Amino acid sequence: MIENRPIVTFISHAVIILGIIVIAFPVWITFVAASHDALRMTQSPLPLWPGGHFFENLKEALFVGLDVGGASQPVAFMLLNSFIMAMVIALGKIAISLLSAFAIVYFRFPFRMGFFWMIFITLMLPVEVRILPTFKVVADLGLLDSYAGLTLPLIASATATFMFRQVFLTIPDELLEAARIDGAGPMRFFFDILLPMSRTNIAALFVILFIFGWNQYLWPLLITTDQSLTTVVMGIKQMLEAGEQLLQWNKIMMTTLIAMVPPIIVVISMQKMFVKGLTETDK
Amino acid sequence: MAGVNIRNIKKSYGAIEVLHGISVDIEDGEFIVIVGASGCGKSTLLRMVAGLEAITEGEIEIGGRVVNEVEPKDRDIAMVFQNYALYPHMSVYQNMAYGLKLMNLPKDEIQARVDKAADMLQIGEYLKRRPRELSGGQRQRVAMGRAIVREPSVFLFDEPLSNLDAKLRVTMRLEIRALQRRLDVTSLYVTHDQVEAMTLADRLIVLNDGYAEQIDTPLNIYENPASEFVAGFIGSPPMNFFTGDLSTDGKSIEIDSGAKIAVKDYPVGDNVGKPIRIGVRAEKLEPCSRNEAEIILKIAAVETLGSETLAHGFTDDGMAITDMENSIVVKMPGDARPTVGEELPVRVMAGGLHLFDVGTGKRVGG
Repeated sequence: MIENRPIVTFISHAVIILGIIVIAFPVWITFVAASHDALRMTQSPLPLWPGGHFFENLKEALFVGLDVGGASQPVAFMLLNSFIMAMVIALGKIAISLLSAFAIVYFRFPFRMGFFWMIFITLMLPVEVRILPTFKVVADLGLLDSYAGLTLPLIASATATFMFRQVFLTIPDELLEAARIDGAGPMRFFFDILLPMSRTNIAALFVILFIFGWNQYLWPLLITTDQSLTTVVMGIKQMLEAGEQLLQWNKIMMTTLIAMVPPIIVVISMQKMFVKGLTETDK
Repeated sequence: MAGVNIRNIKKSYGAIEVLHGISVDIEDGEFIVIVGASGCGKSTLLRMVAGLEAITEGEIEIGGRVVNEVEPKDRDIAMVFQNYALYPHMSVYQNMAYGLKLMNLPKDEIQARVDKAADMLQIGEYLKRRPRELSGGQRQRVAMGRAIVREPSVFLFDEPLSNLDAKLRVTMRLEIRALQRRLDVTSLYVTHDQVEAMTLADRLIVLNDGYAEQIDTPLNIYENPASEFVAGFIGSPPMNFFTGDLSTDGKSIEIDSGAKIAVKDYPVGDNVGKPIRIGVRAEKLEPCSRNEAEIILKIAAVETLGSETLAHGFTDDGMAITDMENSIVVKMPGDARPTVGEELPVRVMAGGLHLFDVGTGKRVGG
């Protein structure tokens, strides 16, 4: 914009700064709370500036955990669970949707469009909607309290299939023909040409799906009762249900803080590819 | 090295037949250009030779072997595409080496072949670059390099120059021709550009609506077009056409405007007394004095090209600006200065007459 009016500049900056405060203030409070001892957190007013117990809390939360109703899991262990779940969901979704998009775009088989629409319709049926039947299926398969039960029902993904279909449709047919003349079979073409050409889209999707998997709450809560499968998000919830005991806000906040870190690392480290994958159209 | 034999090839999409039986025997080392307007089936024919389209009926033989059911990679061909179809994520070297890698050639053999081709095409310094970092002409060279390294017995070109600008097209055209001569590989080349077709081909296949109208050397086609379509398609500016009636003695044709054109010794067969189509090329109409004239044109537009001057005219006054595609073109020397609105008396030079059947469009006589 060439426009240069001070009042507009002022208002737009004010809005941006307000937005930042709204988003950042709770994070700040979390950080502050995580750096005080348990006693300080019970006194009012609540502190607005960091205290001196940050590393102490960090160590205790990570390696000892909270005493919640007898069973105590160190947060590091929950992190591992969360990480496994998020990775399996993200990679599984990508693998499955890449292959199904490949089949739908490049192969002619009976009811091809029928299958496409069947996949597409599942967009309207997220886990929350089909939670009872899905639970029943998983329970009957004997997958309760297992990583498979935790991840498999979340892997089938219409969104990603649809996105990869769109990506593949932008790849010119001549490329496939050139590859055929060069002697590449379907899977060769898939691995040598399609995959590398979609790598930015894969990265973008990975970021989104990793966070999706990481933040899963309702499903893991339902499907697992075994403490050894507790994820961070579930862990925080359990800490809040401490019953008779005093809530240890400093450690709960520390856990929250820790839970935020891996998604941030994923986003920051893949930022460049992420933006490219969402905006790049040139194939 | 191999010839290609195409026998009565037909192609249908559902109930619609797009190629109606094309046969041609292509000799080893021959450069064949398939030319025609867009949608005439020329690319389809090429893609059937490549194995990218299924053959509905007929047979294609490459090097004496029927390849109807053979995979593209096993047909011993290489293809250059209109949009280059280079793998964008691979370097130039990898693009050229990919097919060889899939053939399981040893690494040093691949290296040697790529280097040789890169040398021939002068793309050696770009080997490490990605296709997107190259200009259109360079990409086209890489695409040709990828074809050359396969050392195929047949090259297939699908309008390889139509994405380039006019000047580059001329240079690349000459390069392709020189390269083909040097490698002596049988080539099939599809284009809609008749200049490209004329200059490149040993023999031309003129396709019209799925029929091969004529298969011959460029010069034979130019001098003896087999049909009105071929006559109008090959040559620039396009041939002039009139409709007229052949006199009962077969000596002259009276055209619509009343002018009479002498038939001379043209063999008219049994067409005497019937309507007929007349074709005359622009350079076969010569300006002359009024009493020698066969046709008197009223000039509607003049194109001064320096080396020659093209006068566009009509035989009557009813000329409309939007009707220019039906104008009669006379090719005059570069220093001629015809003016718009003036009358230009012309006559048909000896051997300049082509006659076509009004109904079928086929050539009449020899």
